[in-house]
Amino acid sequence: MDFSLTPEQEAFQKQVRDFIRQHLTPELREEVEREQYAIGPLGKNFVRLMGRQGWLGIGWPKEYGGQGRGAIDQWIFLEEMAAENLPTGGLTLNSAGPTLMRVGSERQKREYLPKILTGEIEFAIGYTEPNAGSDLASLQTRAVRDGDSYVINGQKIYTSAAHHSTHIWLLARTDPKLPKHRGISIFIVPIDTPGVTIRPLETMGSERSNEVFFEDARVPAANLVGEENRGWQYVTMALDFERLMPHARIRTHLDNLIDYARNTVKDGRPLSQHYHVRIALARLAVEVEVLRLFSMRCAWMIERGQVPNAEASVFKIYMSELNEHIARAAQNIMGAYAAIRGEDRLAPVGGRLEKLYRSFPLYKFAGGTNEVMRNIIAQRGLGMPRD
Amino acid sequence: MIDLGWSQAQEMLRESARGFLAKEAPKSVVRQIEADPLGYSPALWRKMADLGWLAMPFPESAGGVGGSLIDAGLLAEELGRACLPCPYIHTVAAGLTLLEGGRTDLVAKIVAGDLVVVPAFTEVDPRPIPKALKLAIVPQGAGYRLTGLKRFVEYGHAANLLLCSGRVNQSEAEEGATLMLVGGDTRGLARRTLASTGGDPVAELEFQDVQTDAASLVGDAGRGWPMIHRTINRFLALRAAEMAGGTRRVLEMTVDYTKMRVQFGRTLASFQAVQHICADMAIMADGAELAARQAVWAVDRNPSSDYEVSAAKAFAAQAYSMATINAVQLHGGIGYMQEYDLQFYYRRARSEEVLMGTIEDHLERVATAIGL
Repeated sequence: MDFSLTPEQEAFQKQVRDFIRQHLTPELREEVEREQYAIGPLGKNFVRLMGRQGWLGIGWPKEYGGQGRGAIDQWIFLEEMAAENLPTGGLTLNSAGPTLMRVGSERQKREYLPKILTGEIEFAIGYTEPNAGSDLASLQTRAVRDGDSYVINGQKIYTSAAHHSTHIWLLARTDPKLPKHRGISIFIVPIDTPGVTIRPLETMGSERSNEVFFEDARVPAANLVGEENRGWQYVTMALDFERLMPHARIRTHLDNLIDYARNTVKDGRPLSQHYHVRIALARLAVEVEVLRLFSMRCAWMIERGQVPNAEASVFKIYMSELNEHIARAAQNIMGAYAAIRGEDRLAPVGGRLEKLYRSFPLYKFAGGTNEVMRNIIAQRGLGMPRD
Repeated sequence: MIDLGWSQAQEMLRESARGFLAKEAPKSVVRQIEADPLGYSPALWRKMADLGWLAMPFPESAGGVGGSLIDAGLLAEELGRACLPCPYIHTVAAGLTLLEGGRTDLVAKIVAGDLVVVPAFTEVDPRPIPKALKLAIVPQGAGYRLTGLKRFVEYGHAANLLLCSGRVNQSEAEEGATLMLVGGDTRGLARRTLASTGGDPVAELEFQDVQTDAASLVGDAGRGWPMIHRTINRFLALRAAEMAGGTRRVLEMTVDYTKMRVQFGRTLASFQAVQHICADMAIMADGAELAARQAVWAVDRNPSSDYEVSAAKAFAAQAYSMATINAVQLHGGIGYMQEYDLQFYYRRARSEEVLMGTIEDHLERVATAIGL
């Protein structure tokens, strides 16, 4: 039983911190705070810089240009980046890339993998549709073989990275006669393909998202990933690559609230000296600590060659609901100031917790709703019946 | 190196402990122990000593096996699973303090199973903090005279020895705190058990001019707080482990029951409403286990790890309470019956939550530890 890093891992952690300190300019900090999930021009430059210096591929095998580091090292890296809200390449790096390594053609590997590693190629994940959310396998976007190409028709929604990506990693139905999980395939669709239209969606939490429409969009048959009709299998396989999840971003929310409590005087003493505020903050600190342990557990399991399953769902639920707890506590602690947006000079801590209040619902349904996650814990973790 | 699993030797220990407790401490035995004024089973204690459980965290030089607190934490989880009233974590925590105080003679007796010694730290104000400490210790002859009250002392009525905190001044500060060993049958000491929720016996100890000899002092007079503090942390880390074990067992019992219980022609476990409650219990059980194991690990390295300890105690208490309350809800009527095993855990969760600091007391300690 050991909860500590090795000296080598600590040295690596310091190396990551040094890199961040060297390149995190005030302008970049301002941009990542404003853009959240989306990546602005400075963020894009930063991702490319990471690519040039080899950071993006720290977990990729050496044969594909990565550093081949273990899960704990990757976790350390992701934690440090998350603590500063910095982009790390997202699903392109940890989902699409590894899928291409396993099932992509030699040409696809040559064409895409090196550019993913340098940050030149980014995929927007095109899975969700207006009528296919939690029940993703009922998606209706069609891809029909026509000679040497596929013709795509349909619509994707909440494709949050579409406006800053180079390609769409698209899930489309190739055989409507097969059972719903079996007639689906993955395609790589360049974003500038004629017939692909992106329409912006604004969110309550000030993130940018998108709808993507496909009208007779034609891609070469060589852009099919792996075999036709096996897309569902690849997608579920790819989920296993996405289970390294850092917790540190949430710690920054709590740190903001603690800063506020330390620096705000009420009834003649700082809020951090009021009993109920101390208890509320300590309760959140304990929850953040437990979240850190959930995150560490996933990394440790992957390091040992196990696939966290229910354990990843435990993290996801706890993370998303802790965002809510922090936002709700901020309401109580900040009072009326909690509802002032960042653009107003009266907003405490730059309006970051006000923004959290508007955006926390996102985390509870995105990336698998918490209801589906609870099903996974009950059914796969506790062995309760599937039906 | 991060390793959240047990070693091979620890896995074997866990298996043997679970087997032993299943055979020797089924709920019929727990029921008998709860009905017995002594509140624990000396026969079982002897067997635990024979298995080497009491030797676990002590060095070989003191008759132990040179294991660590982590091994004791593992056993605490198993005792929590079994919901067995027994002064194991108390004696281990007190014993490590006696070791610090150079009392290897007493440690040897603990290891042999001949001595039950428990910390007696709380009083009228049940928080284990300096300002709640009032018991007066006054030099008298070659020894000391103790006057005052200890309350909420687990197994205090039955222990051979009490590791008592008191103070040699009138202050509310750490300065003046003193650790003293008092024999359970010393003249002037009146012991009675309180009628408590948990069924693990909690005592009130009244000291009327209790006389001790000079050798009963542990550490230095007036400068005992650091030792008391370390004892509290070791004890609470093990207590969190015990609660984590209980939480896990309650979850298992509930999942098993809902898989078997049929209503409306299907098992309860097949209802999503039931699955989601169990999933929430699982999240809390996982968190309690990880936090408790981290606390035991941290205390093993540095007994002043207040943050890890109080985080674990607060979280495990929350988890155990939440799990037992939901477990009774999902069992329905049978879970509420005295003849069913769940009630042991339900009651124990309540007493363990409030003894040696409530959830809020520990959150306040976390607040201080994170610099608020």
